[in-house]
Amino acid sequence: MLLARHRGLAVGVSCVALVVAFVAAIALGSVSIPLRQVVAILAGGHADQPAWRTIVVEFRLPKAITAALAGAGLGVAGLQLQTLFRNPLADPFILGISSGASLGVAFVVLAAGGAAGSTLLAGLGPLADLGVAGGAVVGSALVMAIVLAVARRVRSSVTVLIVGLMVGYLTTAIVSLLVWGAVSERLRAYLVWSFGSFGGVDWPKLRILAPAVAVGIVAALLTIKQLNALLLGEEYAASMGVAVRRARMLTIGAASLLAGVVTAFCGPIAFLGIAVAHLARAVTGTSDHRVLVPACAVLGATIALVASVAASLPGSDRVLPLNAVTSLIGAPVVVVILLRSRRFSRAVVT
Amino acid sequence: MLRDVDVCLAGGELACVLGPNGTGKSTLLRTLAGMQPRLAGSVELDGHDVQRLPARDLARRVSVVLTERAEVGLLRAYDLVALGRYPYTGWAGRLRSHDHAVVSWALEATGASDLASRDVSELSDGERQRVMIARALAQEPVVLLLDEPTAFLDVARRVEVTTLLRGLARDTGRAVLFSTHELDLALRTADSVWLLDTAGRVRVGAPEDLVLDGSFARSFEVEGLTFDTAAGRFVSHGASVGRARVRGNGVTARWTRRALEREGYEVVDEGPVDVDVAVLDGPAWRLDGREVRSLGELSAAVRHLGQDEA
Repeated sequence: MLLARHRGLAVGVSCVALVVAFVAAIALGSVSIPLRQVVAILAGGHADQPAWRTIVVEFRLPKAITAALAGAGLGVAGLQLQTLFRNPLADPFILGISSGASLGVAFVVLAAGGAAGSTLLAGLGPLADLGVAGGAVVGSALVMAIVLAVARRVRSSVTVLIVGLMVGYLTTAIVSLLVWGAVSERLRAYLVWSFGSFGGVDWPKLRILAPAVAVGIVAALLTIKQLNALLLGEEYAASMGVAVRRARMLTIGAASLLAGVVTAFCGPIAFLGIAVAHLARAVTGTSDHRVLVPACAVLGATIALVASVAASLPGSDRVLPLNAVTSLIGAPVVVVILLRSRRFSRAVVT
Repeated sequence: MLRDVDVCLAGGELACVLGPNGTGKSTLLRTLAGMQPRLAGSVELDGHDVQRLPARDLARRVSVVLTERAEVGLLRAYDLVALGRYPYTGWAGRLRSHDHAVVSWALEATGASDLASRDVSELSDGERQRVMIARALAQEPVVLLLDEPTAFLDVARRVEVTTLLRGLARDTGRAVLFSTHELDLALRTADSVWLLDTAGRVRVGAPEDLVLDGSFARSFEVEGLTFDTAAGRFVSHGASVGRARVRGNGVTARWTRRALEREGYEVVDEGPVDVDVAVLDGPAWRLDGREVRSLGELSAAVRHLGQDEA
């Protein structure tokens, strides 16, 4: 009873935190806009300065939605894979999906530039940007196809994990070769992508990102029962009537979709995928996926929004690399919680 | 690989798959559970082919306790047992009042009710095994299969678990089959023993019948060990260091014989002997006119004797 009330409180606090973070992400930025104006603009009213409206509607709102979607997606994908592989170190990128995306982007930005001369991709216009996202989608989809093909054939999930890791190393090696032979200006474009950013997604791109993330999270919600059974391992799950291979395909497919699409649009965002699931377990005190899947979505979205705000250095013109910020804020937080909470350490150690 | 396996299991029966390591106990259990494809033959359950039954139907008839330790944190014992309701619940796995009743019953039947709100990762090996058995029971199976359920447990816990299994078979009318390589355990609890030997044969019978017809001796015998049919245990027959006699009766005398056997003596009742021990009240022992106060001292004295002669 006490536990249930504690959990109810945790859910309430998490949801409030998400709303606050979302509003903060829209209210704060390099241009300071009064909060009342921001609310008025969001409500469809008029702003004192027309530029504010453009800033809020065309830049900050899609950026905040993107951050929330990316955080939720990566958090849920991390949870799915940690349960499937029964490995607290698993994250959405362990299957080589981010490496695949990196490879795709590297091909688009580095190899194409080298082969076709500097004029082809010189302008960083929307066309080139779409090329980056497209390359990432193709790259991560390719790796995902390989991993799924392996997952359908082999008995053990550990084999799938190792194959994913190896594919990751392979693609990273090819990326290194491309980087080594690249022109420095292309290299910069590639690096900018690899730093990660929620700012590159406008409304048309959100029309792809949002449904893809929604599909991934709904798939996770539809498999909570299987995920709970998989807590005991694949053999026990099978003995309880779980179609293990189908559950594995669904889980890897959903996690790949989430990680792949987020990486394509936002770059390879580190840390969220592995940490959100651990934080969710610490906050809710359970391994039950009926609680954990929504908790990971809410917590992931909140943390991504906070990181996005911090990276934009409100009040200044400079923007920090998102990847650096997520890890700079997140890693110490996780370590502190890990050392303080017996409950949390238990969840990680086992 | 096992050949010519023709076994059957009835409701209310506790059967034990017994055999030395590497004879295929786990393989046999897993094949019966439909967890791995059989190479030949058929496994039927109430007239249904186990391999053809849909996963959910099979899970409602057969449940397992595996040797693999389920390492899981932040899960209460109650919730773990409730996972056993998997084949009965809807897509979200939500428990109805009947499911809760079954979970409580399973916890009670295994004496694990007190553990319900404890976290699984905090349980001792014995407690954890009770909870895993409760989980298997919550599946309400016709057949309960357990692979080496006593492997991680100390002697007292082992007896507790096998007694529990026996009670479950009797009280619930379900068939319970467990594997073990511990002869003693099988002898004491099982209604019937499926005895595997290294040649891939299976013999089925009441444990006592298998002792008397020499099957146990054939299955387990290795160099340096002999099955003592009278005592129902294995004795080491390394090179005997001599013959010994124990004068006296009762428990003390029995353990005195054990002590001398451990020292490598062949204990006989008549004929010429190298060591002659009399059990006195106290208890105390007389050896060569000396009195000792414990079997430890006696063993030391006998060992000393052997070295002097050498």
